[in-house]
Amino acid sequence: MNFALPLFPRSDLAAECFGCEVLGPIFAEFAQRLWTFQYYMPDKHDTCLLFCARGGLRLRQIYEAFLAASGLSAPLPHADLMISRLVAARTGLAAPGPALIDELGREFEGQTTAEVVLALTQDPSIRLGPEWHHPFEAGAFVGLLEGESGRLVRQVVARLDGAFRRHLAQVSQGRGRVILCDTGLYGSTVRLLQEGVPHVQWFAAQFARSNYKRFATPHFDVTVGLSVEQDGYCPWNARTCVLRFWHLIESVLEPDLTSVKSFSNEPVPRSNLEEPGWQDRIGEDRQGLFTGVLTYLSGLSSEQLPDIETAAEEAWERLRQAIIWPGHEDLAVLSLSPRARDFGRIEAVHQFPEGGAITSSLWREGAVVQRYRQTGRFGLALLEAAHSLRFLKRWSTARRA
Amino acid sequence: MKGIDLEGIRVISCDVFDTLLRRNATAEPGRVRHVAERAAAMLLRERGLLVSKEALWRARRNVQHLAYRALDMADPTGEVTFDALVQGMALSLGFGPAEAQVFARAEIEVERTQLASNTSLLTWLTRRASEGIRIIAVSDTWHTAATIRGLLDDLAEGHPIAKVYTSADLGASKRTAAIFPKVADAEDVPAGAFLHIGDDAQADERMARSAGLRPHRIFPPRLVILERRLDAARARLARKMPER
Repeated sequence: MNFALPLFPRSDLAAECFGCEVLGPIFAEFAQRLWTFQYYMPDKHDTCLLFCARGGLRLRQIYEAFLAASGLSAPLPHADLMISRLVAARTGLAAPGPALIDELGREFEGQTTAEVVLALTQDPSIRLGPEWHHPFEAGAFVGLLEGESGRLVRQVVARLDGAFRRHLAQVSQGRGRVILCDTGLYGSTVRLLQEGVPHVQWFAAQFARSNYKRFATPHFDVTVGLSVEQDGYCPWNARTCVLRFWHLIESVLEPDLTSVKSFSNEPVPRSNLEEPGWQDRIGEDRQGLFTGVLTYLSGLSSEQLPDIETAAEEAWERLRQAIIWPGHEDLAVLSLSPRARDFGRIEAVHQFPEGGAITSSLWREGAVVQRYRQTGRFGLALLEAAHSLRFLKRWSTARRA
Repeated sequence: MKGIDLEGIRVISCDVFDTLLRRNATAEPGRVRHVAERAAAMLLRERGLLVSKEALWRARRNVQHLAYRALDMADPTGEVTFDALVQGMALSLGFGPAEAQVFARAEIEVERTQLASNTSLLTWLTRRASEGIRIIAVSDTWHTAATIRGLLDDLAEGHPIAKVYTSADLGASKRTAAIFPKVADAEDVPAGAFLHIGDDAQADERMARSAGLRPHRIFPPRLVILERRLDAARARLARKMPER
């Protein structure tokens, strides 16, 4: 069975409508909560809000559209931060700590140390001896890095990291406290930066926060999920439906720009993302969902501020319906483009992998309906029952712990 | 209050909510809902603004949640002030200082209807005051000392409380024990000469003990605890039911 093509033709108008009516209220609520969270942040004079590339760039547009429509002034200065997990990982390479080791171990499981080096340096011309071509293992990697054969790697990484640190100092204007605004979920970036740039006090305000992979979460003390904060899907919490189809949120928020991998050596460093016209491309939206969100926000007024939460509550229910119990129209609207795996790599992951199992899909409920057009609803009911049991099991384990 | 060792005690500090002043059986979600209802009525009557109680309830709940999240992340020993809470809520809803005042009055009015003096404790404290022990109140709250004193004066007439300290005024809370040394300094009495009475196992018992005070925990009547749990469950159930 081929998952590659949706059964129904895409309709941009329908997507824009969905973006406006469903995702619009949800992101308006996010923007209002982001404003409120900043308002209550202590020591505002030494704090700024930085929107993390790439998803954060669109969150900034959402936030600014909200400010313009509501007439509220921003409680804190804000700017874009050109960062990725790769860039954040480099900050800790001079003295690798648990955050960096965990992150590299997860990202490069089963790959060689040389592949890790290529991602970190972005320089295929670096020649590495055979000792670098063994499967990645944290202790061995640190040993190699600190040895003579790792000198060039250290130099290249230090140059790129130095450029990022200059960029950070410029956009934060030297403030000692930074709130990172990003999409979510686990918050690797803030964890890596806490370790790599300890002279700054880091916080994170994400759209969603979720320890979906059950990793260590020392950084959750400084990370808030403004719209969603759950470690897994809960059938009776509509907001958690995004954890069943996180690809949707990433597709809505991530513009068609390359992930940040490197910086120029200029006094004002320029990231590889900042190619000519990059700012115009943040809002370019072939799918229509993000355009719909901005349409909704531009139609808001200060008189509607009290009703944002209530409208969002209804929108979350509608989104749950579309994600968990998708009809064929939902499938057409929410069939999205593949996205890059990130962390310095270019291979893509697909919503409905060609010839793949339903379990390998980024949206299993959508895959069930797409594959089984007649009996799909029965499959969805089974999935929902399985999720209910899984949630209750998790809940009971957590209560016993 | 029998059997309390007062040997060496010069100051008795008391928690306020559910210690000196007992809340009724309304649980926190119900209290916030009452505040929202009253604020919606007052906004319409006094400012001519039609805002649904549902919207105010959600806003009030979220503002409190986010204010404390920001504080816990950036300054865990601090406290959100009541003024900041109502001002932030008013601004986030597109309102100004006049509406913030309405929210503040709605909160205090609801507090008055849901609190009653703990007469047996206050009688015992009055006797200790007559024996020369100084009685003070120490509250983890966003209210100022003046507001708490106003509530005590109204609801517990003739109370023996000589001074009120609040976490909002001192920027330090009982949850982290940071408030106790500040109170001891202000009273110029060593921590070991304090008896601290309160209902919260963490803030009033463990933290007071860790700061060197002698703690004594009291418990609300079991029936009230049961009623509050039922009220909280009813509120959760009501949220799941669409309002028709």
